[in-house]
Amino acid sequence: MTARPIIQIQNAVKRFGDFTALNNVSLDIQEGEFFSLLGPSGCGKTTLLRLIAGFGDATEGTILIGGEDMTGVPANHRPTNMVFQSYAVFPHLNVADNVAFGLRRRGLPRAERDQLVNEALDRVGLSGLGHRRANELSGGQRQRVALARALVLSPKVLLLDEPLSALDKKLREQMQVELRRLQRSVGITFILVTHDQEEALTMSDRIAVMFDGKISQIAGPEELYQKPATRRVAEFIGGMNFLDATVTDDANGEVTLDSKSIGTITLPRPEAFLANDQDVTLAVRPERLTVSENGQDLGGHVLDGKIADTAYYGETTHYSVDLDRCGTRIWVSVSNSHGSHLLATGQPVRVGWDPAALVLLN
Amino acid sequence: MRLNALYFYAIAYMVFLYLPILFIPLFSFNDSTIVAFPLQGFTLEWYGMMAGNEAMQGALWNSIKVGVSSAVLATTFGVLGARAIVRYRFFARPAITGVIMTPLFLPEIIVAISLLVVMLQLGLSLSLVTVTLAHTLLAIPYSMAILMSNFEGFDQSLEEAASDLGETPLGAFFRVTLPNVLPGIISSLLITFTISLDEFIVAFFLADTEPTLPVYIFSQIRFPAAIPGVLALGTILLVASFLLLTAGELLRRSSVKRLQLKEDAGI
Repeated sequence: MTARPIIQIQNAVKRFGDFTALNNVSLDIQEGEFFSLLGPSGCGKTTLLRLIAGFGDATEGTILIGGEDMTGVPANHRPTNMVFQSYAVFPHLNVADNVAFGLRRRGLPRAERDQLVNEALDRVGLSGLGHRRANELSGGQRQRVALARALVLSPKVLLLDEPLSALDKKLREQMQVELRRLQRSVGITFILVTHDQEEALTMSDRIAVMFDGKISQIAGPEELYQKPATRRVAEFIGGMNFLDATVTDDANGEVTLDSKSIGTITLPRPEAFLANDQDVTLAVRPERLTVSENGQDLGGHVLDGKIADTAYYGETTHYSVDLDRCGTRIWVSVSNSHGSHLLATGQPVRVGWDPAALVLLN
Repeated sequence: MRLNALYFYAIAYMVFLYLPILFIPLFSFNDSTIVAFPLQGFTLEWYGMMAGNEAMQGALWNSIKVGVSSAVLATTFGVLGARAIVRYRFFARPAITGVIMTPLFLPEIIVAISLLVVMLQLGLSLSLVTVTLAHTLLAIPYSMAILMSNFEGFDQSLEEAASDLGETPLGAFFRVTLPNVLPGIISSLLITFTISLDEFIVAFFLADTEPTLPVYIFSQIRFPAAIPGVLALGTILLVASFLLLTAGELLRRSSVKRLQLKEDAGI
């Protein structure tokens, strides 16, 4: 990966009438990166992708691709290609002609064109299906046609608009792995739009989480999961427990907090400014907590409570626990790696926690 | 018992509707100038007589001119209107759609008289041109209905995909949009041509001295000797209309089916 950003988005704003779909977004995407735009529907991620593709221009701000200002450059003159959510496979053409669609304008000799088409079909696992018509293909196959059709043009950037949302779970997981492998082998920058946090985490080098037309956080998958920047990001990605707390002291690079749920605790000072008596939120992932039957001494920090609800998922079990101390309900995820027995509703338990697992959000 | 009553009703309905029409081809092969049972024998004489009938051939030629012109005009407006209504959300869209579709429900005699008044007021002399304009008006709703179902099935992202793959807007239209809506356009041409071909009242009011086929047929009914020839002509019109409408509907169905290619298929 080189340091030169292939895509630079500078203060992009997009308005549709009174509605602001994108609100001052700035973003650099590196060459060869697998980058995801993640957020709930209506957050502006698809709008941003369409601006990069050239379907309309930003109301304000600029988009540069490979260092060139793309303002006023229509989609057919941009070095990007897109895989549409509906795949947009041309129904009047067979698979090979779909893949050759963009090549036809380049005036290549027929033999060379056929070779490129066959290579592209091989790459996406559709060898020998060139003569099939679009309505003879399954959803997964149509998506591969859309991929081959875009990749055969060797774009600088491949844009993917929710490409896996229409597939069933099994096929979706298989395509996640394949897309990642494909991206590594062709070395093209991929920009993926998705509302599925798991999809973004498993496939991406970096992820931008968007809400209400703004970017909340840009980070790699692990950092995003372990150190969410805001409560909204923490809520959107994975499960999370939130506990209210108040700052009581800030000294020697450490902050002391008081919480109704877990008492007084001292944590390393975060970068953000904290004032005394400021209300903050402590977040902890359910899988970073442990649960044990009452009486067992776990050592370290423990909270007593009662099981309020149980959900069994096979590989994990999710317990809702009402804490005796304050009545707060927290959620604990337990791995079933030891085949441990299920705890009954109402059973007294002890929840173990580690201060290092706490994330401080303000 | 209830089922039997319904069954009987359906049979009676079909007989009442279609049996009189079937008499037309039947008597067109009957070897007698009198249209009555019993049948006298089989003949192709009435069909042969058409070859020498210049007035009838003139009327046929008029009908074809009017039919082709109004089919092309109605389908052109139909393409523009259907695309706008399906693709864009604009002021008073439902009301405008309603106004365009209204000729479908207006009594033709009212349309014919009002058009006659308007055209005379405008100082237009009656001719095949006025008939063509009126037929275009009557055929536009049919064209719109056919093409709207066509455009509704046409995924807008197909045009965007063409553009994304390097095609110019004009190129995208010719390489993607047109091939996909072409069956609908042909279907609209066939059906609007048939509507014009069969239309009598408006053609009767708005034509001057040049009759279309239905007007010619009406004028011949006064002469008993001409009736078998009219029956033969009617049979040909019947068969032609049936073939054109069937072809049009088959094309429309196949194109809608092909375009409604959603991502619902499994592996």
